[in-house]
Amino acid sequence: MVKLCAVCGMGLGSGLLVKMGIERVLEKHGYGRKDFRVEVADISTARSMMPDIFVTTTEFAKSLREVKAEVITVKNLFDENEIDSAIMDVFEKIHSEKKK
Amino acid sequence: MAILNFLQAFLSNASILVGLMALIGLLALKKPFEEVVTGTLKSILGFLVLNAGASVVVGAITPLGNLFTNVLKIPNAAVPVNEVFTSIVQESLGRQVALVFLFAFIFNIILARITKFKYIWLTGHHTLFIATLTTGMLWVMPIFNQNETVIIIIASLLSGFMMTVMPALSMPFMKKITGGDTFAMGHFGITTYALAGYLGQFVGDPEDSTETMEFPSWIGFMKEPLVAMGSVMLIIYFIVGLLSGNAAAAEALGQYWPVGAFLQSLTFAGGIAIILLGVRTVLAEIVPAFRGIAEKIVPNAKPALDCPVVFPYAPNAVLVGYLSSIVGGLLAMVIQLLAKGALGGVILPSMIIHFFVGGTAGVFGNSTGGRKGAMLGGFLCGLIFTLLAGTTYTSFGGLNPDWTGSSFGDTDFGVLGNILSFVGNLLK
Repeated sequence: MVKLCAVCGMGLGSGLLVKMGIERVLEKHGYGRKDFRVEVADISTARSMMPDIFVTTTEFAKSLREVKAEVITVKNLFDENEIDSAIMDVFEKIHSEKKK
Repeated sequence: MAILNFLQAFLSNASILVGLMALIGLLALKKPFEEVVTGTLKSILGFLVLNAGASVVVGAITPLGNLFTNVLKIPNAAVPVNEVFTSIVQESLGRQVALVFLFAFIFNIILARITKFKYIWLTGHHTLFIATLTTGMLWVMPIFNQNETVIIIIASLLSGFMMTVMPALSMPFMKKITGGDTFAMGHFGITTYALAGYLGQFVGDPEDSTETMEFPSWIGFMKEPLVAMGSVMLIIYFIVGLLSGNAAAAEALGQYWPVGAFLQSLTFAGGIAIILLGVRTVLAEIVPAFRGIAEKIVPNAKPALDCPVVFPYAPNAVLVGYLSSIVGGLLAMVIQLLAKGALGGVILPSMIIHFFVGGTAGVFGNSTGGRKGAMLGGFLCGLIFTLLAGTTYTSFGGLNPDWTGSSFGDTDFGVLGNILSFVGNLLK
């Protein structure tokens, strides 16, 4: 199970858009509920989430610099193609590491 | 009869109604059994968390309200935070708001299907806010005599209408900002976003963009809405404490009142974090279901999305708009203070709204007028939403004494709120 966390300012609207995008992309690649879980968080509490991957925008990525997880930034939060090319390599790497 | 009464008690609970919404959505999307059960329970849980956050926030601003009203003699001072206001209204109009929340979604889909406005509103928290605003405003209109059915129907129609039509207003500028027309703005500050985009062309040049500006790095903390909100509350608490004098401040906040002020300010921000967690948990179940259903019914739909989707296109413009919005808001607050009640409530600065609404106005202003456009857009935005929130605030007055201390912020809520309160006064 790879844990992802979509982060935005308040953790309401745009974070949820990214979450839906990630879920659609991963499902398209054939991954299911046993392979991943996506949570939404606001920038102030996101550090406590401890996921494997944070997905956020460049402006918030700076605040997440010193976390253990991978931090991936996307520009167009609603563009599934961009989310796809941004997350898939990292996701597949962590996913196969965890399987071992 | 016992069963009917039981059912009525069950269904008159707002959190259970929201759970049913999630249940219907998850079933419609043919989710597996386990996900349907956990999703439904999580949305109920989220709604209960939202209610719990309200009492934390109210507890933290009550001493401030007391000092304002009783010591400084400035009644109707309020911090506009939609989340807070919505959760407070839950206590008195929970079921009605929950039903309007549901019907607003449905009406949005119907309108998008049958009219030329193909916008599907995916900003769930703003759907909840507009449902709360319309229900609350209609509830205090004497003409409706608190007739529940009529109010729910009209509030749902109004909310659904706003969700379908307002995004169209943003479209000309969204094309400029994002370079395409795949999505619209779905955030209720659209009147000032469009204004900022329109006026930008007269004051500046998009070539003179905000994105060539440099900002010091310490300003980064301002981009964390909760931290900024807590810090500003602290400043407000200190100023009010000093103006009230040691004795009055100590009575409201404890013997060492600066300590009390410090803790209350951060409790306020903490309470908002609780409400956010609740809203987030509810939306994570309902919005994807709504989106799935909408995509089936309105195949050529255009999504209307939350405002930060435009932030990455001009991050500096967000900061310029945010800071100028604070200036505009402070000016409006001074005007409200000088008006001594003639302009309604006195609206204290809410960093959350300045950041999101002011920042977005900055992006819109920048798209047509560069840095000058961003400054003007943010400034007007802060000025206008603060003035409108002030006049709407007093219209709610008689409904629930607990409502004091918070108000709606975003411009479109102010615009609609004032229109409703104007009509309400005409129809008395």
